[in-house]
Amino acid sequence: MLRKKLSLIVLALMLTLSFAFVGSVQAATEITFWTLSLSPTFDDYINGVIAAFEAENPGIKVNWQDIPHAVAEQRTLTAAAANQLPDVMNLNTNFLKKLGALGALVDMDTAAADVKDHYFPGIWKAGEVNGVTYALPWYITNSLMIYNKDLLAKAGFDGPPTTMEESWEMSRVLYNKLGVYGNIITSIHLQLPKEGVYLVSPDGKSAAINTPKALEMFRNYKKYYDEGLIPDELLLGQAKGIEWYAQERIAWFVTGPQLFRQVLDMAPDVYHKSSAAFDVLGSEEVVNVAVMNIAVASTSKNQDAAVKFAKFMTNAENQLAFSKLTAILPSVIEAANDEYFTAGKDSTDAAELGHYIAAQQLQYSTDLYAPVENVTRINRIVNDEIKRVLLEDKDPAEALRDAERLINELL
Amino acid sequence: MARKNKISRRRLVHTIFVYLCLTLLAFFTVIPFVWTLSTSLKGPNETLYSFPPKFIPQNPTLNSYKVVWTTLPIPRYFFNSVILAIFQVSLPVILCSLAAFPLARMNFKGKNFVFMVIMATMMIPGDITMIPIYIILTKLGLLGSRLGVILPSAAGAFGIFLMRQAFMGIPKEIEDSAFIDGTNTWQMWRYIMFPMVKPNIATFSILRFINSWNAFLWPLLVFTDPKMYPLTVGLYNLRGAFVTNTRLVAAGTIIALIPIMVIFVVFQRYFIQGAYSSAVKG
Amino acid sequence: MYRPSHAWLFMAPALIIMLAFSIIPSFMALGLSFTDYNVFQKAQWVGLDNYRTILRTGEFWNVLRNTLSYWLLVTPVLVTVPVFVAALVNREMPGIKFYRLLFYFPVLVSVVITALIWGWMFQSNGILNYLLGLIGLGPVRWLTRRTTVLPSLALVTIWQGLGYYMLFYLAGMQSISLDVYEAAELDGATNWKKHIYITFPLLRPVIFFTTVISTMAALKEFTLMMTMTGGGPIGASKTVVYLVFEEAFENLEMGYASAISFLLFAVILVLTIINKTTLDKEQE
Repeated sequence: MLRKKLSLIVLALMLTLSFAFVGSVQAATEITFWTLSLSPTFDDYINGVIAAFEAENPGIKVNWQDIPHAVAEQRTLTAAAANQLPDVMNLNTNFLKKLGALGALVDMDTAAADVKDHYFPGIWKAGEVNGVTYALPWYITNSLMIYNKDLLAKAGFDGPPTTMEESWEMSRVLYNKLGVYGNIITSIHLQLPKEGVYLVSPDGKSAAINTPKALEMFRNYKKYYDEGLIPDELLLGQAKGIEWYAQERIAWFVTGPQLFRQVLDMAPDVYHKSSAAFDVLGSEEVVNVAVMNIAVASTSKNQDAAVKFAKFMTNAENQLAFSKLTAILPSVIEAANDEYFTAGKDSTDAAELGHYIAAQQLQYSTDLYAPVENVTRINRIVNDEIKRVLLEDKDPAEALRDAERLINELL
Repeated sequence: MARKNKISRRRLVHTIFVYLCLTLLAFFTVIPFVWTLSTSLKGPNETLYSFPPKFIPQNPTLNSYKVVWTTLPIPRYFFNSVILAIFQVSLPVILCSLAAFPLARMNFKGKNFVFMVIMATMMIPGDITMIPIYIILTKLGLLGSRLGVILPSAAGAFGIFLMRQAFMGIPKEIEDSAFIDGTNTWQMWRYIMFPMVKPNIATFSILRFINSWNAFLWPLLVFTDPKMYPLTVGLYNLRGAFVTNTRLVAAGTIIALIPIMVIFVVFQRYFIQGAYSSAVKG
Repeated sequence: MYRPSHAWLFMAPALIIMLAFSIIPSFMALGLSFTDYNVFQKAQWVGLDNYRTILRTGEFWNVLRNTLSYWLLVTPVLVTVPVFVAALVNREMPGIKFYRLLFYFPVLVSVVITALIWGWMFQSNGILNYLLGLIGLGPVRWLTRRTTVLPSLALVTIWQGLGYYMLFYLAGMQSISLDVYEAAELDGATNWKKHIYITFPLLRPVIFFTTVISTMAALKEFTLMMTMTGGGPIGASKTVVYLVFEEAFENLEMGYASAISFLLFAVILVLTIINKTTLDKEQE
């Protein structure tokens, strides 16, 4: 009685198991393409590009899958562990560097040598690790300023800051007059290179952070922090700058124009008081550009088809079409020169004006992340050190020495 | 007479006091829910992230719900979620309460060892077994199928432990008298023990349902076809690559919460005080 | 009486599942902890190197200290306070089911919304500091200082756990025979005494359960830290499993991350052995 019932349960379990074994039939050349959080917003666009590619290359079929950002790492790593990486994948720069260094990706300096000079050189370099580039740059965004016209007017200013010194002076007035913040310090690893302080030497072999300029910057930040100009929550990354901007707790915020409309979503009235401006350029006159990349897995069985598709996805025509759908920029020179990008010049909408300014800023844009495998760890080291200086009164010179030592240990 | 009055007044004061405590506590626990609900009812011109937050929408509208309903295949996602939930609740409830029974009530060689091994699996973080589990699923050919999501959570330490503790709480006398009546092991589990731990079964079912309903990582790792996504994963599509429509996400959150609330209330009918006394008397 | 073979028959289905999806994967992970596995390259056997490195670097001790402090802040409260909440709702009153549902809400709301709302509460000019200001205290820097960050996060966990653990106690209380209470009432026991002398002793299996479960949960917590503080300020709220996650999915050091997990496992094992007395008592 008992045995019978229990074995029935086991049997039922096995039966359900066996349902899973259903094979699938593969076509001649099939490649899989993964994107990050683009569906369903850009379904029509991506499917359109794929259809055009398949029409041009009758033997190749592209399977598109969209992966939410939130699980991108887990999805990629489990797939890799089970030998099921897609042929073509959309990767952010940090993860790309890691994968490239481990030999998981195809060397694009060789595989895409024919199209290399179509892309902006400063952006092509985003996919570089140890002297080799492992991805084609896809869409890019550079950071610029969204600012609150009302708050600035109330503090007695008729426009946003244009130099670093000015931005801190304005921050002081805003804070003392209105209790509102101006400059905030979030990603110190992007602030330092704007003033010519690079975390790592150009050859990627040693730390380059411990310079007099860096010391001066650390000391200045400490001074501003002690005046109360730098809010803890944003320094520590516990609050989102865009939310504080929407709550009118900061008067300006530097981010990509594709995110400006988030303010419209959170606080429409604040968005309508907003306008866009150039990012404050440091001594090096550079702004960081965030690059989305398309890479081909070295395990791909159809590498030629995969590289072909990667090139097609990132060509001038397809990137231009993509840029027209949202406030992103193309990484291909020809597409960026399109007159479309001058259209927002006189717009009163912050995001449209921002799109125009972003395109104008392309000449200053470069990837400011260190071109080494452990870039994530290195950035954390530097950010932790500045936090120690600001929150715990660590001596700036000692902090820089420690950062230098810790970075060298990683290289 | 006077004494009776005093008692009822004391009872009234007591009742008011209890409700006061309940309401005060509830005030703290519902804030996030109220914020989500209010956000989902706000129109596009209303500020969401004001500080301090505003909870009452100026012009409440159901528009966000309408948009969510029309842009996503909610009934399909809902169906997928229900299928998963049916198995992700029933399998663990049955398998864990079967396994927990001997661990709680029988004496056999290796009992402590088995229990220790089961408990030990709880100490290992899921992030570290994720890749091994995925490889096993691949080897079993379960990727892309519902079973790939259902089987890994069909039995686990948490459920076995919960049910073991429940079975352990049953007085020995009940078991003894059943043995005298000639009850065999299966009958003991099915007709004596199982009915007595209904409140725990209800608790476990609620927890399993919530886990299944809110599962995010594993459905995304296992399913290759978006048509098989359950509701919570499908609703994640409302978060765009660049801009998230907070009102729609909030409306989606509320839609996904409704079934959980229904299940919670339904299972509460097994929370009848004194389940044992009736079992003993009956 | 029961036959031993029946025991195995009852356990077989669950054990098969657990073998395939918990026990074997755990051993695979244990194996990885002796290698330099990074997913993309062939794993090389490195013996105890990972363990040696972990024990040598200060980071592990830091995250272990954080994890244990957080556990000590959270578990005692979550084992005791929900008993009172359960006692409060374990009565026949109009609307009581509704209240139970409300208390359970924090478990249902996603961690993102929890982080958002509590972020507002904890802000320097947030609700909590406003309330403290009314009684002449504060402001407290809830999440932005080393000393306060873990107690603040513990507060969020406790807020979430009240309803969760309430449910187990509630289920346990359902199983207590009403006769026992009636007998006690005849002896003139007050409500308070009834709880002390009847409810608590009879809930012992449940108390053991909540102790173990809340301990496991506390020692493995990291999503809360990830969403609310990013492990900061400067690593002050980084937990062991947070470090595991970082090493595994940011740095792809799977072998190293596994080794950290098994060191945590060893720590839990030691704690269990210390607690053996409690366990023995419970099994009597």
